[in-house]
Amino acid sequence: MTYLTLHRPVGNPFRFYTPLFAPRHAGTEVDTYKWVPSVDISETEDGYEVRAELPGVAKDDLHVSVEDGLLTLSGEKRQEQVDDTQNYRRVERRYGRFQRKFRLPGEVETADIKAGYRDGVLTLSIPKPEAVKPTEIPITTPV
Amino acid sequence: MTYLTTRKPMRNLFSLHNEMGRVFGDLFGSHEGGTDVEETSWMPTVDISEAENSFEIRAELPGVSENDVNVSVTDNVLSIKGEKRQETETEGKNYHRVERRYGGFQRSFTLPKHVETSDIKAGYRDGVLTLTIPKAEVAKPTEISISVND
Repeated sequence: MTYLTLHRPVGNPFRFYTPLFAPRHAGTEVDTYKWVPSVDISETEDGYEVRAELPGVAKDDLHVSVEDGLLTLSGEKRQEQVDDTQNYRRVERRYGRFQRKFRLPGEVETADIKAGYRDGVLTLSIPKPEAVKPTEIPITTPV
Repeated sequence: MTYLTTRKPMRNLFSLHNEMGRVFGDLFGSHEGGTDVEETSWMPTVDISEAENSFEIRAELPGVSENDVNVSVTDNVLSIKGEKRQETETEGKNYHRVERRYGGFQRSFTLPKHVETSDIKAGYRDGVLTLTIPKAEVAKPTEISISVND
C-alpha cells in the first residue's frame, strides 16, 4: 500500500509542521497563507481521491498543478463585494490565499488526473496505472 | 442601531455562562451550548453584516447539497439546518486522511425587530449560502402641525 504524504520541503526549518500548526512568526511562507482547507484522501483499487473544502472560492481562483510528483492545490478566497455602508456584526470566515501540497505515490498517472468542483468541494481523481493494480495470478498445475 | 443576536433557548445551568455573556453585552455570543450540540457534528462558519437597507448572512457549507439545506424563521428566530453527506460509499476505500466533518448541523439567530421576514432571499454558490434580510420601513418621524385657535 502506498500513501499520499504531506510535502515537507527540505531546507525549511519548519518542515515538520503543516502551515496550520506552524508558529505565526515562522517566516514569510507561512504568513502568506491565511487559512488551510480541510482535505480527505482515500484510496481504492483503481486510484486515489482527494477532496478539499473550499467554500466561497471561485473556480477561476483555484489552481491545481503537479510538478516532480508534488500535487499542489492553491488559490485565493476573496471576500464578497460589500458596499461602504456595510458593517460587519460577526466575522467567523477566513479569507485570503491558501496552499496545500501532497507528495503523490510514484506510480500514478499524473496526465490522467481529473478535477471537478461542486458546492465548494474540489474533487481530484488520480488513477493508478494498470501495472500497479492488483492482478490475479492463476495457479496452474504443470502437466 | 439594531443587532442580530444569537438565540439562547437553553435555560439550564450549563447555559448560565452564556446567559451572563449575553447580559453583559456579548451580543454575538455563541448559543450553541446545551443539548443541541450533541445532535450536530459540525458548525458552519458564518459572517453577518448590516447595510443601510438589509442584513446579510453568509454561511460556509462546503459539500452540502442545495437540497439538504433548510432555512426557516419561527418566532423571529432564523435557523439554518441541514446535513453534509459523505460523497460516496466508503466501502472498499482506505482513508489516508480525514479532516472534513460530516453529518447534521444547525445554527440559529434571533432577528432584529424591524425586518421583513417574509422577504428573505436565499442564494447558494460555491458552498456558501447567502441570506439577504431586508429591513422594514420603519415609520419615519411625522410632522404634526399645530393649529392655534384664535
